[in-house]
Amino acid sequence: MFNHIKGIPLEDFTGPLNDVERKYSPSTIFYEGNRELFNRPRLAIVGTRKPSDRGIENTIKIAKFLVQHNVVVVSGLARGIDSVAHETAIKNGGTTIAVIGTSIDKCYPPENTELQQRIAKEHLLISQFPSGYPSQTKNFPMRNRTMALLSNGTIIVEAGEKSGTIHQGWEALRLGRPLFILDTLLHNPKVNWPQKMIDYGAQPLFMNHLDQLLEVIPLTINGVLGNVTF
Amino acid sequence: MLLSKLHFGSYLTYAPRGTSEEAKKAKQVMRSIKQEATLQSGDPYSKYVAGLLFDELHNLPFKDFFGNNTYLVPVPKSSLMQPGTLWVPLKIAEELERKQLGTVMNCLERISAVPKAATALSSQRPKPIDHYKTIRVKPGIHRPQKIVLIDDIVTSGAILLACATLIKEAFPESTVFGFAMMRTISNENEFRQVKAPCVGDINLRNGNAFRNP
Repeated sequence: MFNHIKGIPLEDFTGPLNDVERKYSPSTIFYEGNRELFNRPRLAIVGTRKPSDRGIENTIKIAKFLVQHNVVVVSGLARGIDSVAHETAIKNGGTTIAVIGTSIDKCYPPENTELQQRIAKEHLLISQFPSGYPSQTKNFPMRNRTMALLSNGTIIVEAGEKSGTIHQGWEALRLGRPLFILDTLLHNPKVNWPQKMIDYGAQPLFMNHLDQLLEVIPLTINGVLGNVTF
Repeated sequence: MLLSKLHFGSYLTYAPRGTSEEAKKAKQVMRSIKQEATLQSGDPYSKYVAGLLFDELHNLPFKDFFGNNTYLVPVPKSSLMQPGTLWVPLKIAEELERKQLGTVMNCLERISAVPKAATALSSQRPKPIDHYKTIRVKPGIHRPQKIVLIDDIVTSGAILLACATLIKEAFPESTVFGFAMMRTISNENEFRQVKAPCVGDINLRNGNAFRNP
């Protein structure tokens, strides 16, 4: 189990970073699995560990939509929304990347051990923490920032006022990456952060208009993904 | 009172609804500008496009905008910004300054958010007056004679017109121009290529901004 962990400079994965991106980026990244997935458009789907039925349903719809459009589903392998996002991508023949908050040789939560192994074998498992690195609460917000950096954009499906997901949202905004917040969250009187993030540049995501997600992913020009010169 | 007209220039074009290979390329250039992508060479995109502009400047219709006596003022985003946030117009202005095309004067600040023009419904798209009421001029020591507002992408020009009005109020003796690295072309049949430098005007009519071309 997890015998093929490799550590490489982060910029070998991402290409060169700009100074805003470099601020919180780890210098080294550890991974196991199919590194080629990084050469494709990637969107993160994240949210609460305790989703509502509607949150689960929306996550499944969004993940299926991304799979249909050859977008890699990125998430954090936590309970709840993250697990649903990974599982939906796999079940529908898509690809997925898990950016985890422990080192690769540890499985958290324990019930996701099998899912983590499958992602490492058939997809891509990434961590910024070397093997044996102590598990600490502060690792998770660090991971959330890294996930924002490793994704072309982030979608928050459902999250409470104190959810760790919020760290990822703010970091996506700081990086100038698209951040989508499900419009239902904007009408939820129990949470204040969605409207605040809209004021800082997030976009509401409407379930009947998922095409808006395709407007932000890098395009393939002459077989090459992303940044073109002219 | 909003200015009724602003002279502006832009360097590149893209058509949001374009489907040709060149249009697709232009869209990717737009995304690369907006996200300050980094090229394999390690250069950020703002440096790349500013370098192209500098190399060709003597042939470009807006060449007189730039020079030693020009102050380059980055245009605020539609949204508020946390400290350290990527702000592409500032990056572009800094790269133009490195090429000695002017001096950056970071004097405009968004004080409350307005809907993004690119994603808002047309009825909710901010008008020049909405931008005018939500941006302020920060006090400074400069007394500039020539100011060029620097933006990444211009659509209708509403924000450029609002910023020009604020700048004119703060520095009544200055000459103000607008500049955007890229302009949108709404009719995809009129789109030809990424590089399509132009000068033109942004006019205020019935409270809305209209850009020509």
